[in-house]
Amino acid sequence: MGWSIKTLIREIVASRTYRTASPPLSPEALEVDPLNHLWSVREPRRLDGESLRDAILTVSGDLDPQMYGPSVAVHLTPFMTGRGRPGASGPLDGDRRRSIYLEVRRNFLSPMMLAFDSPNPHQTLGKRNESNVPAQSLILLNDPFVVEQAGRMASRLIEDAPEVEARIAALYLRALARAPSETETRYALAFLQQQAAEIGVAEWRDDPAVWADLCHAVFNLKEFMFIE
Amino acid sequence: MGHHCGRYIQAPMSRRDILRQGASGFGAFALAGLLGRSALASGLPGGGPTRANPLPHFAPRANAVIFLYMDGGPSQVDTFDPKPRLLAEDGKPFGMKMEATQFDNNGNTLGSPWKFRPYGQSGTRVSDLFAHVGKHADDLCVVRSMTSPFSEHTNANYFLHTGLGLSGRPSMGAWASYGLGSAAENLPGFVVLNGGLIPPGGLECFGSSFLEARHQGSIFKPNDEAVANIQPTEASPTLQRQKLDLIAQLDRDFADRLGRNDAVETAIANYELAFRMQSAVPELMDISGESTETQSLYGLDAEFAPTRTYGKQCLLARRLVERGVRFIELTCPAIGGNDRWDQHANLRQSHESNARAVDQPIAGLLTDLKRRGMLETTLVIWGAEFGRTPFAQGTNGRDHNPFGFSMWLAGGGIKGGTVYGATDDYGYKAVDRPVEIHDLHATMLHLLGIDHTRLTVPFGGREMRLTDVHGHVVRDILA
Repeated sequence: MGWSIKTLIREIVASRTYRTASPPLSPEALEVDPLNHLWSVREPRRLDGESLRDAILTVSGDLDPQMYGPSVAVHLTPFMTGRGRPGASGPLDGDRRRSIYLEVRRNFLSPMMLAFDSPNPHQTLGKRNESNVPAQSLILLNDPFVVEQAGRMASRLIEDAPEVEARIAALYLRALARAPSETETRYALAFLQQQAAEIGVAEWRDDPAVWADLCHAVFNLKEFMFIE
Repeated sequence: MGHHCGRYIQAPMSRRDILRQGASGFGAFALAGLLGRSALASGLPGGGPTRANPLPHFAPRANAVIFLYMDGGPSQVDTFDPKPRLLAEDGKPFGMKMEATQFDNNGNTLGSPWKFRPYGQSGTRVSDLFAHVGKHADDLCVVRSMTSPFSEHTNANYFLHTGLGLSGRPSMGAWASYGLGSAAENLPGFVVLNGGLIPPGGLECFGSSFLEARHQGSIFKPNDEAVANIQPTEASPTLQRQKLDLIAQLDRDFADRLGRNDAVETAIANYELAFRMQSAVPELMDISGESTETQSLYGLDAEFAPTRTYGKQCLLARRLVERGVRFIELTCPAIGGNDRWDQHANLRQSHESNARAVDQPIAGLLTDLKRRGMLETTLVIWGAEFGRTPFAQGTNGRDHNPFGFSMWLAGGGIKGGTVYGATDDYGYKAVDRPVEIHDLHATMLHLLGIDHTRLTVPFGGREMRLTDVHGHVVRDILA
């Protein structure tokens, strides 16, 4: 393998241990090793801020995989003010680049990254915090970037999969890497029609707004933001 | 929780972690109950609230802090530190050795253009710039001997806010939130009411650094959309509610499959909390229920727009304290033609308009807190990163002066009607009982019921504190 990190990662993620499902601690394990020191299971992990943003861009189909080059200017919200504020804001979608290419500007850090515990750039940090706060829910629910990505994903899905149930299946496959259960498909269908009724559109099957709402809901699933 | 060598911050203790901890499981749970929901919510090991280190450490005198941050550095000799000698020697060469200043354009001695008058039974002398606040002299403890090692805004601001003159440490509000949690149901523990001016140093002045993100100062604006991402993007509340219902439904199955993992359960619960915050914030901001008398007490009907802005901030500060928020910082409103309180020139005109913006609202806040019985348990701190030189910069300004300046504290366990410490005859350097910013932090935490030496977090190989290895509680100013 030499010193190739990529090869190492491939070796790890392809291993049986890594791919083994991780059920909750068994009653026996809870008895002998309640703190899971012996790693009988792997506890779910929340995605880092950068990974979460990258995941949203990836499943929406919007990601620009281009590597290298200068970073993309940070998007400025009205809450980011003060001395040294850049004259112009960067794009809301960060030019659809991976988060590693987003500019880290000392006094104007991305609010989404801050809420998801990306470390500040002034010092080294041994291990990131993994906090779990409502500000994160508010970002995933109401931030224009997330909403915009849901819309873009919906448009692509409508184009790619003409049939409704296949479209739901495509959404699940992209976002959660699995097929939906029958129940989940039923929930999704009911939701699409509820939203359509509330918006007042009669023909919901290809309506971008109701599909955007479904995509947006999927971005907010815990299954999407946690790694099992 | 896995192994660690004390280098890392552990994840917060969850209910299940506590139960898991074997034989004393239920004992620990009961104790955690005594710590209170809010303490548990911020429960980190290390120096945070734990079984071995329950917080508060002793009975608090204050439940909340309101920090009235005077961006740029008001002049002590024109506000709370009268110096007749400056007037006597006005225009003459300065009578002491002058240290290097920011601009090194030092002029002659500059007497204060404002009169000082004695107020209240204590007779504390306050300048006409703060004629409204002066009336509360018997509730104030004016500390006239503040010092700081930094004479430049950015470093001095980091130092004032975090106890270190470089960026990257948690803000004092984040420490308060970490130590005590938020007692508010639907609001964070540390709120910054941004009147318009974010201090030099930027939002890092309000950061949580190695504390969890929940302790970051949340920026609220007194007007317009108050909080980022609080406004639903859906066209109707029903559309959002239906979306949340679908999310909850699907999450339920996922959570069951994982056997009710705590992190996932918390993330699910956060959605309901976020939903409630969407209405809690507009409810907070809606001041139509406040009487006309109260609104004009704060200056909401003032002619000068910055007074109205700051008045709204002060009123919101009271409403945040009522809702259980621990630490509220107010930044200054932007005033056209002024650069903050940073009067390198045009002292007279610009200090006048700065004071006009904040004097009446602050006095209104003190009056209102007092008549509602809230001042006793709310610590109000007025101050800045440094003061200004008693000699002129050019002819009509003053340069930065970190060697001696004034702050005042009121309420929450502070001995009112007092003056602590003194500067020399010129108001240049603290000579009697100098107080460091670390001492201010130690005293503030003390009043919140926290021993500043025992509120620590393991980071970078050692236990970190707001006061680092410094700080003494200024006991003489405690009631």
